[in-house]
Amino acid sequence: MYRYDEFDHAFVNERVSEFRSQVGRRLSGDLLEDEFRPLRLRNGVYLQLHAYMLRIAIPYGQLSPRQLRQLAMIGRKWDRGYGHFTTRQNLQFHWIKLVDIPDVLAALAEVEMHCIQTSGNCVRNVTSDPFAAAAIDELEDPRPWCEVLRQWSTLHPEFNWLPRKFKIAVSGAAEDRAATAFHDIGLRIVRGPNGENGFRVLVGGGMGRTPYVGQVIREFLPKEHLLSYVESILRVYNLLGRRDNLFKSRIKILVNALGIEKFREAVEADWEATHKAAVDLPEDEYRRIASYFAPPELPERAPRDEALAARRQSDARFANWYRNNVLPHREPGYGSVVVSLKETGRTPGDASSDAMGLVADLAERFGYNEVRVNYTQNLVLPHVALADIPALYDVLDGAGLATGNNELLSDIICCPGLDYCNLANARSIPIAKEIAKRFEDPARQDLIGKLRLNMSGCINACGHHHAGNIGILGVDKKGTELYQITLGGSPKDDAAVGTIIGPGFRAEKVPEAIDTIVETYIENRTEGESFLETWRRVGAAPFKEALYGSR
Amino acid sequence: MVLVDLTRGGVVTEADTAATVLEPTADHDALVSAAGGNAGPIAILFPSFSDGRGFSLARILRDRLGFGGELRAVGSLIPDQAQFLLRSGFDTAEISDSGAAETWKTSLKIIGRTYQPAARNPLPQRWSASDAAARALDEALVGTDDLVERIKLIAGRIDGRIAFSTSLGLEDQVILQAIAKSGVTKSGVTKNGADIDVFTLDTGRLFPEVLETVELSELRYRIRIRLVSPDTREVEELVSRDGVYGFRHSVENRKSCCEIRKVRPLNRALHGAQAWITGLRREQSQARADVPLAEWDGDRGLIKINPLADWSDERLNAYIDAHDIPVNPLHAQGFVSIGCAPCTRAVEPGEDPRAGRWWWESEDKKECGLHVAGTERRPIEAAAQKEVAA
Repeated sequence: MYRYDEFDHAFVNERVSEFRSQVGRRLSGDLLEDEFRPLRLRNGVYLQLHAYMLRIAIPYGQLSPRQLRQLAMIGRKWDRGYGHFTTRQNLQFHWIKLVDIPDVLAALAEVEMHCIQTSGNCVRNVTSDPFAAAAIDELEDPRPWCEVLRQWSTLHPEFNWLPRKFKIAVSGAAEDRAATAFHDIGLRIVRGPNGENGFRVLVGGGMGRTPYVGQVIREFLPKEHLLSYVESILRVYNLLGRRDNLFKSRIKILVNALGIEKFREAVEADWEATHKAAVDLPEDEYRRIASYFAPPELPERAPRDEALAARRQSDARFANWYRNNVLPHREPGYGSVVVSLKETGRTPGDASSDAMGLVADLAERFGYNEVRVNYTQNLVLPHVALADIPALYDVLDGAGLATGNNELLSDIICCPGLDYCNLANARSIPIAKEIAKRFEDPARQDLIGKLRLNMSGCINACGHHHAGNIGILGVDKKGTELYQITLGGSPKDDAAVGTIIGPGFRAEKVPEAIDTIVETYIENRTEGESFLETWRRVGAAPFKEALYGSR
Repeated sequence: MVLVDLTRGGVVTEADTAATVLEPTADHDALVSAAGGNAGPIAILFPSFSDGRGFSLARILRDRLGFGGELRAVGSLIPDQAQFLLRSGFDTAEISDSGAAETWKTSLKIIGRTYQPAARNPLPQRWSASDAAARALDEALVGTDDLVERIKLIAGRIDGRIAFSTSLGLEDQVILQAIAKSGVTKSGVTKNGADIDVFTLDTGRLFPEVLETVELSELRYRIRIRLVSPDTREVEELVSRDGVYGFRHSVENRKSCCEIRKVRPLNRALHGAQAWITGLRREQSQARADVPLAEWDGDRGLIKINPLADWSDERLNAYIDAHDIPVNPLHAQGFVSIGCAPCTRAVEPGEDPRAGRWWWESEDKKECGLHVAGTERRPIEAAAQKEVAA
């Protein structure tokens, strides 16, 4: 993974001392909250319901054991012994004291981490495929390009006061595991006309109150022009994006107001006029960055492990976990393991400091020192020898980290909701817990098959409800929490925004409604048909009938 | 109203009146006509500090329309934006609170390092930081004459994998001994977490004496020397195309043999390394007369380190004798620079040390490609400046 050299260390340390002085001025009263606000936001410090919240960037979701251990330490020392992994591959601490934040930032800098641009109207943490450099369907490792974008966007002089926040995702594989179509810019590495790799560029995707699937602005962009092209998109957005209405200021609104053709024209005209060579990254600088991403050297192993096969035969729970949570690896004899943060009864995405420390140990013992964060709020050990998987499982299981529900119904993506967030209209975590409990039985989930259920506590859609096969949105209707259900969303290559199925449900009725939807799917599906396929074939009618028929 | 000079940090006492005032909504034609006048200052209005349109307008005026006059930011701006304004191309900022001028001045020093090009500062420090770091290492290495100290310095400065490619030649044996003696590596990992990865290119045509030397050195220094092999399929294709001794028939054949058996495996072994230690010395050949102790290898994205660059033949031989360093027995038979067996012969006393390599070829072609860049070298600084100028 990328390692800071003297330059990067010095840069981040500068930012820490800058913020330390700003916090000092705020605590002494020299800075008023209004003046302090834009400054703290630049460092990922939010004021939430109960306390300050600190959002830490995990660039493209990659962590070393050392970094994960440091996060565990921070949680223990300055928070309540846990942190929350977000749907944007970040980590949030919700109980941090302002006076401690400079020390937290210093502790992060020690392990090459920071909170720069995790909030504010600027380019945010770049997200990516958690299975990068391990997946069997990968064309090219997206992480070097994420790092290129991270460096380029850091304190960019032109693009730090955009109309609104800006999120970029990069995927280099056949399957989109980074939800690129739901980002302001989505980059897919694809094979070009002459056999060379480049980017298919999507623009204007997003969730929030006006969800849109990103549209293709360029089918093929030569890789060397990534920065100049992204700059042109941002320049057009910076100049033309709406600034009069907070809710209409994302790039998706501009793209859809102008229409993709007109927007494309404007971007291409700006790009044509750009001195590209002056903006694009020099090739040797790219090579410097890319050299850090050499995958670990994995010793050759037999493609099949007998002990593992025997355990799968004899231990049904293990077999279930293995089938769902271990993904094929491009090297024979290896797998990628999803460490579940979705144990029934726990807050999705929460990880205790102990759990973080444990996963760090396991990454060293079995995982070639790599940990990834998935936007579905789980952790991933991308490189594990099949022969080590039973031992790894036993340790995870002992710590409640081996729920075998990856990509199943109870693998719910969920925002913090009204319990923590001052933007939320409704609770989300308790509802998600209730649903997970209802579908706890692995046999039933197995019967249902893959099903993405996402839940947000407000229209800002941090829980990606629009992209869930089943989405739940908490709203406040005259003082009552009401939950609106959408069906048919997808974050993958067939990206789609879910459709509202009908009137909302009260909190206690939600699990039952989900049950009804699932049963309707099972009744209507043909052999091997996924939820989305059934939904697209039969339409809303049977689901409406089942949910509201008697009303 | 006070006009802050962003380029120098002071206050402008006698300000010219703006010749043109641009709203943030200014379209391309408005920008062109403003820049075309070139008469006096252009003022760009900022309705609020969070409205960043002016930054893009400045950049277009500077980078694209070549405006060279004073560019002034006017409106409700905050001192924390000083450097962003400056880098986007502004010269001055008009502020209402004269007491804040000092804060603006200090704000110009907050960010000392930059990651991206902009109108002012077309070459971000990040892009030349690696080159600068390599030059700093070079200077530090020049500062110490002791080889073991040099190795310690390298291990201390490099954070990441350090690859040492050894051919088991005299220089490389000296370096291996120094690595062992420096104590920086225990089973390949240095104290600061950097690996020293010692490897040799097993081309498939090595002298048996080379492998004997590998074995002897491993036993003596307790450091594993990794053998890096060429791609089997590539070798099979090469041999079926050109024959077993195809490299004798043309320079092209010889070069593709070197490419497949040496250059590609080397590049593979170096992938992901932050530094590369070699045994290059200035006295070895005319082509190597200028090699520095350390330099940024932009093509491979690492720092190339030649800790013996400034050593003379005498010093090398004296060191080997003094430390009883195991050497390839072929040296005693008149072999000096030793490569693959079919392409290396002994040399007569007084002959050029590299006369024994590809002796049937002319002098200027005799590099296998390990120590010359595959493509034309593109110094970041020169290239970027050239393009900005163009």
